[in-house]
Amino acid sequence: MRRQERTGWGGLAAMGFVLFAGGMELARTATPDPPCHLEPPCPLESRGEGEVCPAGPADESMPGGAMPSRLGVASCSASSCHGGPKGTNHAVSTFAATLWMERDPHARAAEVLHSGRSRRMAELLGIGPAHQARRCLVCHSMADLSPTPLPDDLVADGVGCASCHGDPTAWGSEHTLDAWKRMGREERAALGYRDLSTPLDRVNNCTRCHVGDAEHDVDHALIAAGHPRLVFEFAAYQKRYPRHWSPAGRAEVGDDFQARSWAVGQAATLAATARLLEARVSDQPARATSALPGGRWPEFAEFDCQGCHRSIAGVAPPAVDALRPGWSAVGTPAWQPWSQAGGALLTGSSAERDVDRGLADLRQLLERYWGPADQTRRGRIRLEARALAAAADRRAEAIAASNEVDLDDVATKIEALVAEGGPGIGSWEAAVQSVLALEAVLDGGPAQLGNAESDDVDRELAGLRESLRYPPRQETPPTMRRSDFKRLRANVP
Amino acid sequence: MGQHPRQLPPPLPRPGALVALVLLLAAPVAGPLQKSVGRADDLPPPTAAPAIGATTATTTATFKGTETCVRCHRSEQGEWTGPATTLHWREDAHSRAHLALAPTNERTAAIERVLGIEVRRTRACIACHSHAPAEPAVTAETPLLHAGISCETCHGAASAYLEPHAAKAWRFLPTEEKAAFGMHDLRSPAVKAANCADCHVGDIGSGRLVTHAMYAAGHPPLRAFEVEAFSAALGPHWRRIEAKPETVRAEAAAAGYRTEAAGPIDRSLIEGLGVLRQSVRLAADLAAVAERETPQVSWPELSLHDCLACHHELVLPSERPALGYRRHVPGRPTLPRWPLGLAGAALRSTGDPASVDDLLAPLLAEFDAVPFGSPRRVIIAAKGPLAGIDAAIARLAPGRAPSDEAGDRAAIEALAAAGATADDVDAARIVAAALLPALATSPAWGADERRAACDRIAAILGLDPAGMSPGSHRPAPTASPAIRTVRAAFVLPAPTSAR
Repeated sequence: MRRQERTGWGGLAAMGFVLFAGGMELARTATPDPPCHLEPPCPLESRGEGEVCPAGPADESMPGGAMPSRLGVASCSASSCHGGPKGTNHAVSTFAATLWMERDPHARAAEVLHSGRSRRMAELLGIGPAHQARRCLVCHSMADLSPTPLPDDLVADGVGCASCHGDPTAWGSEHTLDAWKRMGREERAALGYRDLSTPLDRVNNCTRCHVGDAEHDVDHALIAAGHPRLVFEFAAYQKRYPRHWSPAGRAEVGDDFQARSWAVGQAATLAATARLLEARVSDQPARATSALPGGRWPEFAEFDCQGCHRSIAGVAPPAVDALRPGWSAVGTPAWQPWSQAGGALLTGSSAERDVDRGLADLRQLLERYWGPADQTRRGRIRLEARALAAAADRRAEAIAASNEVDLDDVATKIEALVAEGGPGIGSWEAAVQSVLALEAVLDGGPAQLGNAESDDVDRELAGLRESLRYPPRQETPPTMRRSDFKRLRANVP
Repeated sequence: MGQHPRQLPPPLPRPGALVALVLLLAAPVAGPLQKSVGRADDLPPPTAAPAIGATTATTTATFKGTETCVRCHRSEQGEWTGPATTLHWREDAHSRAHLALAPTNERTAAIERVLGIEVRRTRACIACHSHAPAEPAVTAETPLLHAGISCETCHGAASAYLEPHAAKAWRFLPTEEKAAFGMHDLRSPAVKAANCADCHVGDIGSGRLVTHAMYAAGHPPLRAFEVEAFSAALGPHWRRIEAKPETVRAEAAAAGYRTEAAGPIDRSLIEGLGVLRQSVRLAADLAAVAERETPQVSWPELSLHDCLACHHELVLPSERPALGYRRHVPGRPTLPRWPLGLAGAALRSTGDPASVDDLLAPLLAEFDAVPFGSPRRVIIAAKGPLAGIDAAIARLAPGRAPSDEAGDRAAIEALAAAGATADDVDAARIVAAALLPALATSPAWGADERRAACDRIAAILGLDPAGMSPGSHRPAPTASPAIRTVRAAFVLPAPTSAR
């Protein structure tokens, strides 16, 4: 923490000024003030009851008033705390918030709610303006940390510090003390602090929004209104994330960091997906959901987009998709091809047999029948989803606890898929998961620090990735031929 | 048409239940394969409204076979027995419908392979592609005349009317009395539309439904169709009273015989309503089957819903959020939208302030409430719309005065308005098909304006971006024009007579 190098005449003068200003402030507040600092008449009076004045709670401007919320980025990013100027001669943590504000897309999460696309989405869903709709704000701001609506300036923070690190109201002061260093994980967690030191911690934090749960759900209605689909792979996201912390002394320097991140990420993402399925099939309307009347099962977002969203023009017989052998019955889409592809690449001990079996059982249940009205079947799906979530969680913890993680088995699996006479890559989702797994395999060790030299392998891998990119202006994957993938894959050693 | 043989088909299978499809729809020929599920007579009839024009005779008459018809109706033998069968067999595609069941047909072979069935023994195939679902199954030995969609498929099984209809006194009997003998009144637009829609939309009572599994296996999509235009394309084997010889017309006039009350435009509108009615009725009937058949539920049946609700490419920026979902839940499959254009124009032309969406609102609300709707609630929700459609048909059926130009103009404008708000190209296309003949001869617009408008609208007829036309196994058509462009073609200048 920065300290004043010396206290001298300048300091005295500064103190004097502060006292003077404080005196002026006291004098000002001696006369009755309007409860907020906006010029009367309040431009927000027309908002009606229950609206929170964006100027903040009335107490905030009064000395000795109630403790203001600490949710905002402002409370972390004081220049003497985490919002200092960047520099090489002091710890990264002193300018973590500065880095975050500069380069982190989460900082702009709430801005996007003002775009034309968001406005149209909110209109179609009938939820009021997007930047005020809880359904949007639970993911795009810190609204999910507050039972009451957030004031506008906190909404504008986007997905702020508190979203990932936890609500600092209880530990904001405490974490500056020496005693904090002696506190264990559980003690810190009891105060609301979220420990993000291991890949497992991190992925369980990310999946809340990037996969979803009962409160955060990008379902098919949202997608139909215009929301991008959610496709999450933890290791790839982590690798590309603009860090606002120093990797020194943290998980990043582990010998198997990338591999561990991939494996833990896949397992934990699968668990989160299964929990989301359970929430959806339980027909629990999410707290944030206001627009969907009645039931929501079958939830189309659980299924393969391209299973339905394909043109039927000019389809040559037979119309069965040759890219999905045995995955689904005629005319029904596959269930969660992304998760299935990822799960298929996970290998190992008996815990994974639970995972494999769980995936297979759910596939059986969901790909044969969609009926909305059958309570018995939905109960079964719920049980299976819960079992899969538990198995995947166990798997994730097993990987997290293991001393070393290597992905040789994964590499072998991918080789077997694309080898001559092998089953081949079944779908675009499987192809992308394979590519991202390959990245993790090739990276293997500690995190890349700085700009690594791009060599042939990286170029080939990049080429393979490019071949899988959505065509311009399309929200669908390119038509992918197995032979193309095989050929490109062969270039990557 | 609306044959309601007392035997009901066993319930239709849920998507993907291939084995069930085979077992449940196998015709009696496939004895050892047949599973006994809710066989025939113990099932109550569908709960939705009966088919228009159905009478007792239509349910009990039996088929005499096309060779009986050919004996008289094959050459010019007097003014009433024209060469119907010759024309029919020569030009009408229906006479070749059974060829789809031939094992040499490549597409059929693919469907058989994927679904694991034999089409010539599967009721769901025979029901539409040959002459009568109630008859014994078509076998390899069935003579050519019995296969295909024969005379009696549309005109009604002949056992009751075969003798009487040859008498001279028959020709001026009121059509209701003819129907009592089992002859379908195909001059009535509502009956005709129901007859066509039995196959072209579906009819549970006679076992006619193209399920989504069949589509996925390769069956071409059932195209959006407009009765008048499609009939004209058949090479019709009938003539309207006005086209009959002078002597016939004189006799008819003397007898006060009027078969076609509604004028040409109103016929299209009534038929549009009839097609929509069939679509709603199909949903309700299938929901009734699903209700009875727990846990072997045949719900949801994806083919009841709008194909294009799912089968559209995902692009950015997307037209669909831009156009909106008419205040329904985004992304929920709904009823097919293509019949709504014509039906909406029909409602408007009766002076009804309600739109067709208002009419269907109870049913569409069920599709909003739960994806695909809940069967029990769909049955209940369909009653109101069916009643509303029947009421609209009843208002239009008596027709207007022949010289009612203002009414004609109003009907044309209603059609144009329907086209200008069409949901998709298929909906626009059937509105165009109905609008063109009326507009081309309307005195309400100047010749030049009329021709320009007709050219614009005729261009719509050629569009098929979703590949919904038969034979969609040909190379993919060109990209769809924006719906706004299509809608814009329907904007008509103000009629000259109103200026």
